[in-house]
Order: sequence, then C-alpha cells, then structure tokens
Amino acid sequence: MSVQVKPIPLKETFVNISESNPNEDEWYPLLPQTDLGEIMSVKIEQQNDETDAKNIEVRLTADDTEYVGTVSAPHSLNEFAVRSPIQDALILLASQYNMNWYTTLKGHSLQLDVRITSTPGTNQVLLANAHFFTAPAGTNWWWKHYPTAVVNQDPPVNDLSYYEILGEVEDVRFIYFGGRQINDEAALKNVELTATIDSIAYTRNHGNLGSGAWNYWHIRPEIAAALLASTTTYNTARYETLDGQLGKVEIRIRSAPGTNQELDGRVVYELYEEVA
Amino acid sequence: MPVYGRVKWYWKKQPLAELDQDPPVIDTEYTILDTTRLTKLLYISTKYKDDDAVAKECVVTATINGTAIPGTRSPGDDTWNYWYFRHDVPNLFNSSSIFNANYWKAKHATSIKVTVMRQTDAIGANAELDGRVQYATWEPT
Repeated sequence: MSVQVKPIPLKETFVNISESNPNEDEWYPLLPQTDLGEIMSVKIEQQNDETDAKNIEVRLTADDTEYVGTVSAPHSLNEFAVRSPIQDALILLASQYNMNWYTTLKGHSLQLDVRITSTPGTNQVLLANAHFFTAPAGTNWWWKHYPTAVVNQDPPVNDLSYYEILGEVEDVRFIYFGGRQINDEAALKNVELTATIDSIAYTRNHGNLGSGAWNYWHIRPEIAAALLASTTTYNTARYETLDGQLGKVEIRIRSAPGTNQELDGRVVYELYEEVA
Repeated sequence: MPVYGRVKWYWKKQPLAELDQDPPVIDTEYTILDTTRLTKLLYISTKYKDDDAVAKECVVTATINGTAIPGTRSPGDDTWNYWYFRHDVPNLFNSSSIFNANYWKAKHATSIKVTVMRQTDAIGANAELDGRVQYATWEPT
C-alpha cells in the first residue's frame, strides 16, 4: 500500500500579459485553463496617454464557479484581485493581498482572464500578471474549489439550535468563517459561531456584534477550542488556513432578535479530493 | 510517473498542546510539543508571571527536523506572546500581536519539538510559566 509522506513538488510559475490597444470588452487570457493549480496572487494595471482611469475586469473560473471583479483602475497603479469573503465575486484592491486575502486559492481547474470595459485611451496598455503553482500530472489528490457555503436566516430564533452554514465535510481546508447580524435598531447582538473540526468544537460567542458589519472568526492561539471574532479580515487561522479531516460550521443568535433581524453566515472552503 | 497517495492522507487538527508549569524551575527546559509526524505548526505562544512583576528571561526553542532555533524574551507581565521564525536569521522572534509560526504562514516540518525555559533571573513567588502550540498532523484518512 503506497503512502504519501512527501510533499507534492509544485511548479512555480509567473505569467505576464501586456496587451497594447486592447479591444473594449474583449477577454484576454492571463492564465489559460490549468489543472491542479494554486493561485498566490493576481495583479493588473492599465496605462494610457491621457492618464485616465479605466474600468478593468478580472474573471476567475475555479472548478466551474465563475467570479468577476471590476475596478476603476487609475493610470499606472497596481490593483490586486482577491476572492471576496462576503460576496460571490472578486474584489480589486490597491493594497497587495493574495488571492484568498493572506492565503492561496486552489482548484482542480483554474483559469484567469482580464479585459478593459471602458473606451480605451490613446496607446492604451492592459497589463496583468499571475503568480501560481501547479501539481505534477499523476497527482492523485488535490484541493477542489467549492462555491461559498451560505446561510441567511431571516429572522433567526434566539438561542435555538444552530443554523448550519456548512454541513459535515471531509478533508477540508477552511479559508474564511464569516458571520453577520442586521436589525433595524442597529442594536448589538450576541452571535455565536462554532466550527467543529476533528471532534473539537472551536467556538466564540461574540457578545456585542455590531449590526451590518461582517466579522471574521479565526482560531485562537492560546486557548483550546476557541475562536476570536474581528471586523478585520482574517483567514481561519489568522493568516493561515485551518484544516481538518472532518469539519462543519454553524451559527446562532443568542439575543432577542431585533426588528427585521437577519443572521448571515459564510464559509469559504476547499476539499482535498481525488483527481478525476 | 510518480503517484502521490494511493492512500489518502490529510491534515488532522490536533488538540491544543498545553504546558502549565507552576512554578517552573530555573534553567529547566519544559516541553510544550514533541512530535515526529509531518506537522503543520500554526501558532507558538508563551506567557510568564511571578509576584516580582519585573522582566524575567525566558527562552523558547523550536527544534525543526533536528535543528534547534532559539528565541529569547524577558516577559513577566502575564501577557501572551506569539513566536515566529525569522526570515533573515536562525532565530525565533516574538510579539504581543498574533502571528502564525512562520509570521503569516504555518511552519511545516517532519519533526517538531517546542520547549520553553526560564533562565538567568531568580524565580519569584507564585511563578507561572505557560506554553501553547496549535498544530495539525498529516494522517491517513
């Protein structure tokens, strides 16, 4: 029986495109469809003689799920594409982040395209680059991309059973745990998120979760079975991912619901699955 | 053609490794974690206090694949510190802000031993030396 104990030797690649006088609304491939990939970062830039800002779109296709992000990109300034934790889209940021904020995005099949959606300027140039890794052919197991798991409980019942954001999955790489509550009074509420991973229930009852803002729960370093929650974007192990052979994520409200109370949860994850 | 993993292995999240040494003995190394499995090390945290409420030297050592990487700090304020491998020198550094074991990344190794020791300064009354390690190990599924 063969046993995998060596790390998979990944091939590191940087791809660049520089499209002079691109056509408006035409997609240009940055990363052609690639198997068994891991995207570290994606950067775009546009330049034109008028030094005008132009609308640029980036499209990621990850295992049949498509994400698009749009930005009004200033002339000659970088924008970094990040998969949004709170919507099914990419966001483009002037600050440098990786594809999943502090970590990478993986999939059995990945593809990236870019385009300009404004009228191109004089001597318009569309620039993009991607930093990514690929596993070798013959790799039996790789992370498969999944759409974000979502729960929208409007209204939630106070202190009742948890609402399941993600039911039990196997061999999971958790990227974000997101939770939010909204009510008309903009009142603070107690919201508890629990991630049960390999029989350990990591939990935090956030006693004063503000209305409207997304919070990112992440594993606490020095306390067993505990999470921290923050409006600052963090991955599930702060700047890293939390992995486990069995995992599920739930959320509940533990205050009296307000008027038009909403309780939302989002879990971004990938599963380590056999390659077809 | 290489074949990676006829048997599926994956990261299994292990319970928090904990050390609570109350009181510690000076110049004695206490083990927080000692494993020879392929490990994804997420965080290393330590804390020290005693009634003297002054700085006292603590040394954390992470032995990675047989190579010892030390780090020194003088806490005494009953505050958790988070240790990480420096990129420029073979030392551990630390911060009261949360960082992963490799700053913004986990540290991977086939064997990891993490120890902490109180050194040099006298142990005060009611001394407590605490250590924590969050990690996962590569296990068959």
